[in-house]
Amino acid sequence: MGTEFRCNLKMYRVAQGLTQQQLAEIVGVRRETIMRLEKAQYNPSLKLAIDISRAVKAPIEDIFLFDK
Amino acid sequence: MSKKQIKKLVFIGIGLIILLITGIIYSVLFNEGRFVNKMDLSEYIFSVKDIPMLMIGALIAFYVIYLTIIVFKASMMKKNIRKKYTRKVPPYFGIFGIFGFLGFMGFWTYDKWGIIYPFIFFVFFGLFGLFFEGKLSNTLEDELYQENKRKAEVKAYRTGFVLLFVVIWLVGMGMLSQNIEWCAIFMLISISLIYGLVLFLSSYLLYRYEKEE
Repeated sequence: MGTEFRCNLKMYRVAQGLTQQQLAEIVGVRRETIMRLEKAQYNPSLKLAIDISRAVKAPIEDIFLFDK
Repeated sequence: MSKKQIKKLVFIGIGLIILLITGIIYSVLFNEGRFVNKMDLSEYIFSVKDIPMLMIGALIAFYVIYLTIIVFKASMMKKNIRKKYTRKVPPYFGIFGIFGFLGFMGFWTYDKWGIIYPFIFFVFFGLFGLFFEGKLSNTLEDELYQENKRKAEVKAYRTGFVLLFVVIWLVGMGMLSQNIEWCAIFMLISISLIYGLVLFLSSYLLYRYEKEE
């Protein structure tokens, strides 16, 4: 629908001093999932988005961006 | 199952027990103890006075059925929650796919005895997919995995259905119409191969979606 998905997860994750593996363990997914998210190759569920936002202590709308 | 649901079930159960006791008292006092004392049901004749006991019996039966369904659902949900990792399958199990070649036995058995069922063995070609399943052995089934699994299955089934449509179309168009046995063989081989392909594709595509960077 012409919406571009961008993800700033890497920035916030690094700011929190977390590795991909650590973040993956906190939110209960695999490291590959975090990797895909950071590359904006995967659109997460609302639950995962909230879990990640809590883990990296940043608002969802700053981590996951949808540009029209 | 939530605590609220358990409470509800217990309350309904207690209510039914009270109802049953009331029914028994009613039956003993006003209905000559029918359904309480021993009865020969083969000689049963309906009486309006039996209605309360029959209704209580029906309610208890509904409750038991409802309880069974709820318990079964809860146990299934528990199973699903627990199952967070893919099953452990060694990739070399994929070699079992060679059993698919047993399907060719069908040509020989048909020629010799007119038996066509060995063509079903073509399904075993699908076991080649175990190689890819094995490579994803003991993987955490997170939401990305689930999504990829769904995507792979949908694509595999769609391919299968397209091929099945082509096969049915060919048969419907009158291919092999001179010989009904050939038609049966053609259908059996095609369906077995298509099913094998769907099994294989589900595993293979899932592997590809999982590993693509």
